[in-house]
Amino acid sequence: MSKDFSEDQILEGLQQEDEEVMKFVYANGKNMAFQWILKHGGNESDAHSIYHDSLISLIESIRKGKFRKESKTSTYLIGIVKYKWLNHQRQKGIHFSEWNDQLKNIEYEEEADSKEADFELLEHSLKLISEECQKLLIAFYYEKKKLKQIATTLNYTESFIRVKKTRCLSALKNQIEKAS
Amino acid sequence: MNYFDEELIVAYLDQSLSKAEMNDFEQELAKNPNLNREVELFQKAIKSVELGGRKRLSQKISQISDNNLNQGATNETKAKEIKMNTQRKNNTSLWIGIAAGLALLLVGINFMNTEGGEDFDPVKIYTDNYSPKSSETAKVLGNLAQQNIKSRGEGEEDEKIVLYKGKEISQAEFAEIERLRRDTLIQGLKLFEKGKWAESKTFLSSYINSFPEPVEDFSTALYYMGKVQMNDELYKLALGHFNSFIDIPQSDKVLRTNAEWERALCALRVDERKAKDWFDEIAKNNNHQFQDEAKGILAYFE
Repeated sequence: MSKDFSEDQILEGLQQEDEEVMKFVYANGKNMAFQWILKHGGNESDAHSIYHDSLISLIESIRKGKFRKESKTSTYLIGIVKYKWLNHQRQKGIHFSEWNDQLKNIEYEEEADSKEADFELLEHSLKLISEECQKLLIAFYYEKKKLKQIATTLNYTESFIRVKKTRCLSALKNQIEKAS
Repeated sequence: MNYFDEELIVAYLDQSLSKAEMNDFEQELAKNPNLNREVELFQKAIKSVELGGRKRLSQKISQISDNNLNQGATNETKAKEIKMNTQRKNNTSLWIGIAAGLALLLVGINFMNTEGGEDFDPVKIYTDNYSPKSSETAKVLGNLAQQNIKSRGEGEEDEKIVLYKGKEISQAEFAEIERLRRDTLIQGLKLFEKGKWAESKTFLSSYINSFPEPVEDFSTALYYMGKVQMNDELYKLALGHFNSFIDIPQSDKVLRTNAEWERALCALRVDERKAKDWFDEIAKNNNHQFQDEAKGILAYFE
């Protein structure tokens, strides 16, 4: 029952969070990622968590145009897994010199995240605006969809969606201002 | 700030301004602190959206991962599921001794759930087991009131000097600070008891920032701060407060037991691996009040 997808279909599917493509990519890379982490000092639970986060990073990298198609998505994904695991171990003080060489070969680079305290406040604030606003803003700023596509999905005109987006973002900004 | 300005800020952040407009905007930004602050707030709003989007994507991936696990289930894992269901039923039977009528109803509901092959649902486990209030609050408030009664009359010898935070102050001044300290904590706890989490948080936060001594009361403030953060769905912040509380050896023993249990529940929302470790610790502790509950929850992790 497993279906094969071309690289272009995978890229497009991941960008759109297509469930079938995501299932395919998940199942396709899982064994290799898990085996690699287990071989490098991790357990099943570590592998699960790292693989999960790596898939998120893969999708975000594609959306932000950071994935330059120099390798296959599956190779890039396993690169992210390695990067995340080695980084995780390094933060715990487990450090082996040969791992630096491994990291050099991985084209993925993690972005620095803001402070944890901010995270909670920001995550919470989003829930305080309408569901439609949340969908619109996520589609534009996170899923990197074009306004035209969002307008079609939400059944509005493109010009209305542009104004609505500003209003929604302003409402969210006001919630953050109140909570800060 | 009018709507037009907001539109301009959003266009700037979306990088949809022309080069000339961008230059004009940046020049204004360099000299206008109000505009600067607005831009920062809008940047935070965009960050908030990104975090929300990531959370939704993460939930989608969790579902895919669960399905993937279910599809790959072997006979061995199926046997494990049967064992798990049996364990859940056994746990349920504990209630029979407490209140037979209610327990029968619970067993009925639980039986229906487990027969359907219930999935591991951390949010449900959390909701089923977490209580936003604390049965200990009345007792803690009682103790603080006792301290207030005992301290009456203190500070009458105004000329006596004591050392407070490295400064010499009169006994009367010290007594006043102590009254303020206890009142801040009492007010925080009373608001907590009334379910006014935000107001309670203001007092508790002020207490934590101002009164690190005595450490027993400080730790109590930390515990309740953990609870209000949890009630406000700020789980990572709550974990930080529970960890700090648990690290203080002088903290109240009953509150500590509660904090260990609530910390594990809280972790279900942000870090399931940590949650499992903490439930494990509780389950292995024969003297822990929540040992049975922890064992029950651990069955879901199998």
